[in-house]
Amino acid sequence: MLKKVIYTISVLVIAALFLSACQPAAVEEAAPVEEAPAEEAAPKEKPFFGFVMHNFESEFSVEIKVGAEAACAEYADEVSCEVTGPTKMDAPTAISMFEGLLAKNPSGMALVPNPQDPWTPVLNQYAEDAKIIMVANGDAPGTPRQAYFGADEIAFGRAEAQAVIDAGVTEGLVIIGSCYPPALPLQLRDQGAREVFADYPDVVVETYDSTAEQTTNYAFWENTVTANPDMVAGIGLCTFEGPTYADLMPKLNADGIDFVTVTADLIPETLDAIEKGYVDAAIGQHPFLQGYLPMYFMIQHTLFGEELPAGQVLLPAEIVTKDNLSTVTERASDAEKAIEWYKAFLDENLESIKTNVVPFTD
Amino acid sequence: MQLTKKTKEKEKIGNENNQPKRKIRFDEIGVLVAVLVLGILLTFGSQYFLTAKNLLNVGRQVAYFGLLAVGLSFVIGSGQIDISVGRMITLITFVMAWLMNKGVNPWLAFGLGLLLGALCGLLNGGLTLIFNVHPMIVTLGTMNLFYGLAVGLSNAKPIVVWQESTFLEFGPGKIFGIPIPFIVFILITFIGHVVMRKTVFGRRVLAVGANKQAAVYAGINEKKVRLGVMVLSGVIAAIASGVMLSFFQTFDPNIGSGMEMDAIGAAVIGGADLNGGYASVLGAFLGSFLIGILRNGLVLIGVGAYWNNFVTGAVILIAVAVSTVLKTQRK
Repeated sequence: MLKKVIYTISVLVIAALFLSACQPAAVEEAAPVEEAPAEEAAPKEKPFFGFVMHNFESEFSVEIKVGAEAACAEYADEVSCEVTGPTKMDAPTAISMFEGLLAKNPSGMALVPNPQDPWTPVLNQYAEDAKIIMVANGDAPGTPRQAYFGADEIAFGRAEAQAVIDAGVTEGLVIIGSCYPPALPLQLRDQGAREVFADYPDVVVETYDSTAEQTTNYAFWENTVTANPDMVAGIGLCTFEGPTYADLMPKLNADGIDFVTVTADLIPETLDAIEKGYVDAAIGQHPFLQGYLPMYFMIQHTLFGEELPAGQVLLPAEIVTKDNLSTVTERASDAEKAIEWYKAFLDENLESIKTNVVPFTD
Repeated sequence: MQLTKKTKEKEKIGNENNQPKRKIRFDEIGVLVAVLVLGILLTFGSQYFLTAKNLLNVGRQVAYFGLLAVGLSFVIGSGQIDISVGRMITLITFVMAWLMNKGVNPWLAFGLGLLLGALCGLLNGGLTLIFNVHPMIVTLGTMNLFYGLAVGLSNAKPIVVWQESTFLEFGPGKIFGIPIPFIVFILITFIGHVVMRKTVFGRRVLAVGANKQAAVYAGINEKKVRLGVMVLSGVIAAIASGVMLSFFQTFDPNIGSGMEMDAIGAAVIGGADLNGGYASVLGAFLGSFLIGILRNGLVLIGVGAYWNNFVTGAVILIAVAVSTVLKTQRK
């Protein structure tokens, strides 16, 4: 009997919770403005913007977040923002977070849709609720996104391969490490790199999953070198290879093993490794701007009615070697300095970025 | 007279489970109260939390690992563990997506996926029994086996399902505004709860988990029971795979990664004893909700992305600690 009573109470409590949940949120019940004196009216809610990251496993991801928050900070009195995401690459969790932010009635949503495919039905389903959808770092073809902010991935891959060629490699085994092979941007980088190597028939290119976690990424390259002591170059399509090469190459060099190393993203460990000669080149893709620009354009549109870019906003690849290292070390050392540097960069380049938008073809 | 008969039956069930019924109810009420308290706190924390749309979204989000938690309740209740269920999802989702893209009817592909889930469970259970190895070790191996198969066969490439089918409509679909994955979760929970509490099989599962030797002396074929729960868990993992594939309409090689931990967490929060002998499907359902609303709430109240995991972990630890203390007090 007692069991039935407790079950009944439980069911009633849950039902009450759901029924009360059906009531409109408090904010929607506010009295119409004309019925209350202006000074007593509830303050108008700030436009809210959400940004969902794919992960926070690398400093590269953190820099996107810093950029997005910097754009919001410029309009802190007028808008509110939230940048969130799963710690590790986990699309279902990221999608749950996206849905959570949608519940806050945003004026626009930005996201990094990596991996892209699980996001496709979600973005199509929630296009109306999100009002504006901006994607960064990886495009999401087949979805109603307004704009994509990121590198020209094929050109990025080509730049990596060209850096290997420029370092004097024209024959031998080149290993490409992709930290997450299913991701479309990485597949495009791989494609771009292979296009360059296609002109060098004596170069053999092999691509492997180098994993998106620092310790396993290190283990991958360590094992790869053991298996291929004759390899002439290693290319990392992601950010993880920089710290890996920084740790691995001194040990290999001590054993008399050396090869050309090129990696992605200008994180401090990579820049330090370039300075010490353990990384030959790194290709940057301005992650700060990938976070900053989607937020910036959404805020400008919502507050001032400015036109939104429609299409691919392709950011230039930045090739860094020992020769031009000093140009990036200063801004990489401090978030404040990075913000200052990018402000100056945008003062100079924002108009050209706006005018060079490539329309979507899907 | 009828009342006396029912009372006797209840006493019999209680004795067979080696668990007085009052304690079982207490555990479920504990996690229900935890869900409600958290819900109330989050309602005060964010005006967006307590809306039908948001809560129904949470219902859909928890359905994926919640379904696994239902299957794992049986596994844990029988004194075993299965940490391969997350990667089982990766493999089964791959096979279903691959079949669908080869032109196989999606419902048939789903059916074959269920069969594959049963086979994966059979493999886990079979290896555990044949080699008399702890299921943790066996499923650690099969976890990598399933993942390796999925990634190897797919070349680590995603598969987008292009077919048009009612199967692919039910993932994003709703009935009376309720997401279908959530309805599936409720249905499976209901069935699981009935099987666990009202059937001979359910009582045997808990009896084997409580004391394997005693169960054997009582005439229970403990090997059959242990194998059965592994197969059941595999089939439920296949249902979860179908629900996920239907919603995302794509196979991603990372799908299912880490999901087993959420599911085990939900089952344990729901009162499942990792030593075996007790588990509650209803508790696992509520445990899934606790994790789900916590994650949702943290986003809504704007807890920084870096602190999300810490807060989630802390709340889960508190929930498990409170549940354990209450259980110990009862004992």
